[in-house]
Amino acid sequence: MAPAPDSSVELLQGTLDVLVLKTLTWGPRHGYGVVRALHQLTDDVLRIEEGSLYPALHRLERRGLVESEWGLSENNRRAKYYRLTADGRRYLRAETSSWSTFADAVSKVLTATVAPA
Amino acid sequence: MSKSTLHRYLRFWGSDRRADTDDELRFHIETAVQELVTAGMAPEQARAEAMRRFGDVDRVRASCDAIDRLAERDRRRRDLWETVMQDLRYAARSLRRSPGFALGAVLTLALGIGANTAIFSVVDGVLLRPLPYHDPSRLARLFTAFRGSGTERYAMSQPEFMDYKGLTQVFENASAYTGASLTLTSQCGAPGERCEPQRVRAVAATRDLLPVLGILPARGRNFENDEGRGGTERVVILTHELWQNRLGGDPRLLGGTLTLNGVPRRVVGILPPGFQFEKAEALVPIYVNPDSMTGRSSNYLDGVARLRSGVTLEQAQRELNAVTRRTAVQYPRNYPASMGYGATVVGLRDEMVGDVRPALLVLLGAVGLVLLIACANVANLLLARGEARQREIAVRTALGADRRRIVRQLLTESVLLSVAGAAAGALLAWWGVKTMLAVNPTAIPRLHEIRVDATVGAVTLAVALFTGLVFGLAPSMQLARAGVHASLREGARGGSESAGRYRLGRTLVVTEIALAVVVVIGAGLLIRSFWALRTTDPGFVPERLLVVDLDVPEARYDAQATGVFYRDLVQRLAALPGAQSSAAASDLPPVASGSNWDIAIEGRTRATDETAPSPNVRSVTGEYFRTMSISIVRGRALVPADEESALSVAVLNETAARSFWPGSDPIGQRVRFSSTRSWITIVGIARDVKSAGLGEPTPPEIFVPHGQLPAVSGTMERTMYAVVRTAGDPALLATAARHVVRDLDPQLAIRNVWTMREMIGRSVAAPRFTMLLLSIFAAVALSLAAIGIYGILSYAVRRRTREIGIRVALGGQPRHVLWLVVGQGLRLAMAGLTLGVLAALAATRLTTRLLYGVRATDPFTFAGVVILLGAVAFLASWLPARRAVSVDPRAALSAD
Repeated sequence: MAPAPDSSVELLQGTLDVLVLKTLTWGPRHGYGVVRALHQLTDDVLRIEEGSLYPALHRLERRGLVESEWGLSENNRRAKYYRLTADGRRYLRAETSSWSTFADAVSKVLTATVAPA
Repeated sequence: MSKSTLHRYLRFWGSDRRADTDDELRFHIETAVQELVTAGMAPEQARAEAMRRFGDVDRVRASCDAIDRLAERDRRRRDLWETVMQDLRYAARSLRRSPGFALGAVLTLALGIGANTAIFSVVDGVLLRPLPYHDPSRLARLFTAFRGSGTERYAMSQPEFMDYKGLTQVFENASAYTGASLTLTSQCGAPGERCEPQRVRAVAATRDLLPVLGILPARGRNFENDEGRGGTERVVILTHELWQNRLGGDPRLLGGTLTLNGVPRRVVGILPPGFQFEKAEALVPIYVNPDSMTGRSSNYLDGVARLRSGVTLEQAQRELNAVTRRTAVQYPRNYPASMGYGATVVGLRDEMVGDVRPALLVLLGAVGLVLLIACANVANLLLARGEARQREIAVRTALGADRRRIVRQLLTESVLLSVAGAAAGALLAWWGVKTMLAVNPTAIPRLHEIRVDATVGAVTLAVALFTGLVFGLAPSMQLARAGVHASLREGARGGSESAGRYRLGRTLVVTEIALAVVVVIGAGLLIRSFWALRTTDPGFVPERLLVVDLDVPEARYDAQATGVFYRDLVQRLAALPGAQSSAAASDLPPVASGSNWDIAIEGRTRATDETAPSPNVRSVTGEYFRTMSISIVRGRALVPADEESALSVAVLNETAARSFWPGSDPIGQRVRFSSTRSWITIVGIARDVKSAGLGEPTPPEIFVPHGQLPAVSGTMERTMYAVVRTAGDPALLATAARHVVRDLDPQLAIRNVWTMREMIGRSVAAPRFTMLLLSIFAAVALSLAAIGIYGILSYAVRRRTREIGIRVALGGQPRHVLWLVVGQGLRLAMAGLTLGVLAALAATRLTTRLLYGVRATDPFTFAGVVILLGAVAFLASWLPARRAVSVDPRAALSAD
């Protein structure tokens, strides 16, 4: 999964998984729905190569963090819907809290105004 | 929607992952296109834009497929694991419900698997595990061969060794060595403490020995330069064990001196722990002069060589052949053509363990058969149990259980049994190996390397799993097949399925008997052979003989003093209360090795291509023949007066007389050893004794008075056995004999004091060991076969209870009923015995090398075993038959 050619911000390794899981917390979505949600939530700041989403979804399914089911889409077509499993929810919670800790720490350093002793 | 989608809907379950991924990706792109078009983009443009945003479709698809394949594999594994665990739980539950059956099966298997594990651990330690040297597969032993007299492996002389060592295109390096026995008279424990002289087994070797073996001293250094040559400082290298266990492990010993054989030697090195070579406790240097081209007839060196990497034993043998051929041409006086001079190279391991290999392989075969018998027995147990489970299985089949699944479940049960059996068997093996090692300290080389370890454990587990499949498969199939049809019917007993089961059971019993016959005949042959060995007339009277092994150090005893010492010794020993006479001898039957020396016979010229007569030389003191009770066939025995007499005399044994003077009388004739000029007059012929071993042919021997040895041979024998003929139990004189030696010379170490009975016992320890083990296995095989017959007939009686009841009710004689059942058992036994005898005829040929005085097809053994097994079969049939007779007809008819 090479980064998108004109990505504004590159995704950190492994971050995509968490983002995908997050978009599924509001209910099952198909892959295209996940992409749409990511675009909306990031105001298109994060440029994700759409195709790279699918290996991520399949990997998450193999790890048992999501499960899939075929269903009908809004436009009445057969689409594969992904749903967060209990394991997935737990995983997301853990990742979210460690991400916040990490981000807080990094931003504390980057926004510091006083030189450390 | 495409045709392929429809096609996929037609599939029932399971999914075509690949096509699903295609659909999923297509949906994404088409939805994106649709949205762009809705937003006002032209269709072609919209498609291009959607594709651009998506990226490389093929790569994404490939990644997804790869992940899906892995996911699929995970899922299959999980499923399999779950079913296996389910089967295991089920099997454990069902075995818990019939503990009697489970116990019987596990014990039977423990016997079979335990015996296999024990023997395999011996085979592994002795035959399979590499020797404890660097790259041991390249190590080989070197010998001189005299093929004219059928001698393939003989000691080398110095120049011969140098010839072989010079073949540097095949040998990287080579070392010559010879056994040496040292007496330690200093440094035993704390300084100043008075201590007994100690014997130290040593190897005197050239400095190349350690490099050839690829071993470095752990402390100090190897021998250097020409250490070992006369005039250089005397040095010694100790094994770690000698240093630690007998010398107190003091690190200051390195560089210090030890008094060995009366002279001081400096300790220059200590070997790493666990070093072993020819049972040596210490190494002393010998020097082989590369320039010495004389002394070709003085053969006393053993050789070990390291082959160049990639060089085979065959290549090395070819080079040796070439060089020995050239040498024989160059020195025709040393190597007449009829002598067949050559050299032999043998892999070091083969040389060490070659003798025990046939015995071990026979034992391994026997335990394999025992295991098969155990399998047959457990299979029979499973069949009998199947009777009870038939309905359970029928119900499960009717409820839609897959037959394969049922077979698998039944097999899981068998494997569970066999693994439990293996665990019990491993304990049994561990105990058995411990006992074996305790019972038999000398009969097997590399004994200390035998242990029940991870390799053995892995092999046991493999055997257990295999065993589980072997004994489980047939009954499981039978049961699963039967289950499908009949058994839901009431009273299905006696139907065709159970007849089939009975047939399978009978086959198993016949097989079992046949296998047991083979093992028991094998054991019978070894027992007879051992009996023959023990009852062989050794040619002397071995009772009431005490033996003292001694040697005197050259440093303090010249030839003269040595002769005097032994003469004094035997006089004092003979004077002990309870002693009748005493003598000393350089070699004693049945463990004599000795060296053969060429002799020349007066008045006989020898063509250059004729081999010289070469008897084994035994130097003995005057009362030897009387003390050993060896009868003199003609002429006279040696007497004490000969020892100091100027007239050199000798006695021949019958073999020597027969082979060197065919058709004429050697008495009064004169011979001399090739090395000296003095003539020896033959004064008598002694009866042949089993000098080289009870089962070995007697070599030609010439007995020379010990005191005359220096005059006639130029050498002296310092290592001797003193024998005492006693009036009562010889062991009672042991302490007194030690005191006699100490009084004569307190510095001498006594190698051993034992009775001739013990000596003989030790000499046949290896065949006794094989015989004992095989007998134990035969007993196990016999019991298992008996249990098998009993089991199948009990089953047959139970199956025919109703029929028997009817017969009895209709006035059938109990006698007839009895014979009906017994006859059935005996018919099985007959079939098994016939097959077994045929198989044994083929199989026992493998034991030929282990047999003495009995042929592999010995009719008595065969007949005896057939009668024995027949009797056992009869007994095993009798018990169920008794039960059949006591059947109450009313009960039998109302049963079922």
